[in-house]
Amino acid sequence: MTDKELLKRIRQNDPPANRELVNAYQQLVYTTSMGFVHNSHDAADITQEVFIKFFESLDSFRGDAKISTWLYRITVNVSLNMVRNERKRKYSLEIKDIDIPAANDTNYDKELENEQIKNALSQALAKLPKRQQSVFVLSRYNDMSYHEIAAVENISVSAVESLLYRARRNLQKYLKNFYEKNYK
Amino acid sequence: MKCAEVQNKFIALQDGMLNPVEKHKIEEHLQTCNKCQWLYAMLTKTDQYMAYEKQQRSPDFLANRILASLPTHAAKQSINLQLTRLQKIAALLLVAIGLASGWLLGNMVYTTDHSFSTSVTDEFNLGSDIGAFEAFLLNQ
Ligand SMILES: [Zn+2]
Repeated sequence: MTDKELLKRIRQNDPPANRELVNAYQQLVYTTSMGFVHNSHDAADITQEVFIKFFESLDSFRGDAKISTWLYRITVNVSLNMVRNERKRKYSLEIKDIDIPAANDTNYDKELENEQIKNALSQALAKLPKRQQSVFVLSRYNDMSYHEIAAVENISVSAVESLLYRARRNLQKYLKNFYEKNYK
Repeated sequence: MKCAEVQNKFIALQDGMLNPVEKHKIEEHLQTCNKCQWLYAMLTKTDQYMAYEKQQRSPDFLANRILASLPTHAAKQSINLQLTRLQKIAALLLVAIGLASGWLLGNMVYTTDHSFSTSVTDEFNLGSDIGAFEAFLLNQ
C-alpha cells in the first residue's frame, strides 16, 4: 500500500489503517528518539507523543511528502524538546541519582564505566547545536542517506554533509573533555 | 607525534581514512601512550554503546498504548473533515440543549474518560539498560 492510500484510509477514520501506520513506523520513531534520550522509558513516551502529533497534523500534511519524512520531522522536534527540558531539570537538581552497586560486586567497575559512557554520550550530544544533533542522530541511529536527512531537515545535501562533519568533531571534543576528567 | 595530533586523527582512524604511514604512526603512539590508548578505547566503546541503543526494539505493549491514545484525536480529525458547517451548528445546538437540560435537572456531574495510560513505570525495568549493554557486547 502506498503512503497516499494509507493516508486516505486514516483520514476516513479507518482503525485498521491506524494500526498499519503504527506497526509500520513505530520502530523508526522509537530508534530515532533513543538517539536523543538514551533510555527506553522516555523513548516510548516520545514515540506515543509523535503519533498523537501526527494525527493532530493530518490536515496540514501535503499528499506528495513521504509519511516517514514527516514522522522523522515530528520525532526530532519532540525529542529536542524533551532533551532541553531534561537539561533544565538536571541543572536545577544538580545531582544525578546513580544507583551505586555494593562494593563487593565484581561487576562494579564495569558497570560504573558503562554508566559513565552513557552519561558522557547523552551530555555530549545534548551540548551540540540542535541541527548538528539531529543530523547526527538521523545518520547514526537511522542510517539515513544525506539526501533523506536533507529532506527531513529542509536543507541542502552539502549542508547535511558539513553539519555531520562538525557534529562528529564536536561530539568527540566534548566526549574527550568528559572522559579526561575521569582519567586515572 | 604529539598526543593532540594523534587525538585529532581518531575520527579518520575509525573511518579507515588514514594512509598506511599515518596509520602506523598513530598505532605506534597508541602502544606507548597510556592516556591516548585509554581515550581511544573509551571513544570506541561510546560508538559501541550507540550501536547497542540502535538495536533496541520498541516494547511490545507500545503499539496498543499508542492506538489507545489516538481515538480522541482521530475522532476530532474526522469530525473536522466530515461535518459541514450546518451540521456543526446543529451539533452545537444539540450540545447546548443537552447542557441546558442537564443544568435544569441540577445534574452538574461530568465524567471524563482517561484511556491514556500515563503510569508505565511497571512496564520497564529502568536499571536494566546497562546490564543489557553488557550482554550486547558479549555477543559482538
Ligand atoms: Zn598520547
